[in-house]
Amino acid sequence: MKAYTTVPKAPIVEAILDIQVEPAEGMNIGAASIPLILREMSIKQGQWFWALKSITNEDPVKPEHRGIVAEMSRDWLQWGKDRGYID
Amino acid sequence: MPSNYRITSPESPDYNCIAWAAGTDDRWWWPDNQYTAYWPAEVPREETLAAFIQAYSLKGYVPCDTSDYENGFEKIVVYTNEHGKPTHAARQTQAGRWTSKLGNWEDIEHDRPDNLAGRHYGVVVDGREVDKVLWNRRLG
Repeated sequence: MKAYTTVPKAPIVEAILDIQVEPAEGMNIGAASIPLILREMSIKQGQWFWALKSITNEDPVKPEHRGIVAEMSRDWLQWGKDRGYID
Repeated sequence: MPSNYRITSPESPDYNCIAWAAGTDDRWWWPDNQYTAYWPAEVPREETLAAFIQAYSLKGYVPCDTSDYENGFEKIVVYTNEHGKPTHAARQTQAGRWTSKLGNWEDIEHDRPDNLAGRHYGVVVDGREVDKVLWNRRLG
């Protein structure tokens, strides 16, 4: 899966999105990266949101939080806890 | 990087150049189609100069002709690339210099809008002022 955006991405995000997502023994490479991204986000806030939306096809960010990195991070981390990706 | 500049803040991922030019340092402004950044609800979410003009007009900015400092006015400039797509914005300080936020990195203060040259900001290297749009708003 390749996608392009003008919102700056961290290098790791570009690497994840450049991975060809092919079914292989039921494994989805994109989905496997979600806990990694969320753990990184919990340690150091950054522009992970575009990648998470692309991988998950979900958007837990409240509209009033758009653009506010800390609030968007909290919304995604709560999403991750609710779905069991992180503790 | 401009040749005459100074760093005026620590690195911060909390805001970008478009927000900083609008006087905001607590969120990213950009009309991305993924809705990950803030964009005024009443403005089309499109990466066009017209949309940026409309967004900044909500802050009271109107077009102007010169980047020269004028007492009582605050000026901003939006840079566009060769396709007319906005790429950066800067704001004039009350000292007559210009302040820019560089992505996830620091704010810098520079002498003139065309101190930022190169393919990312849409200003040709020979210093010719092209592909920038100026606005001002009255202060006070």
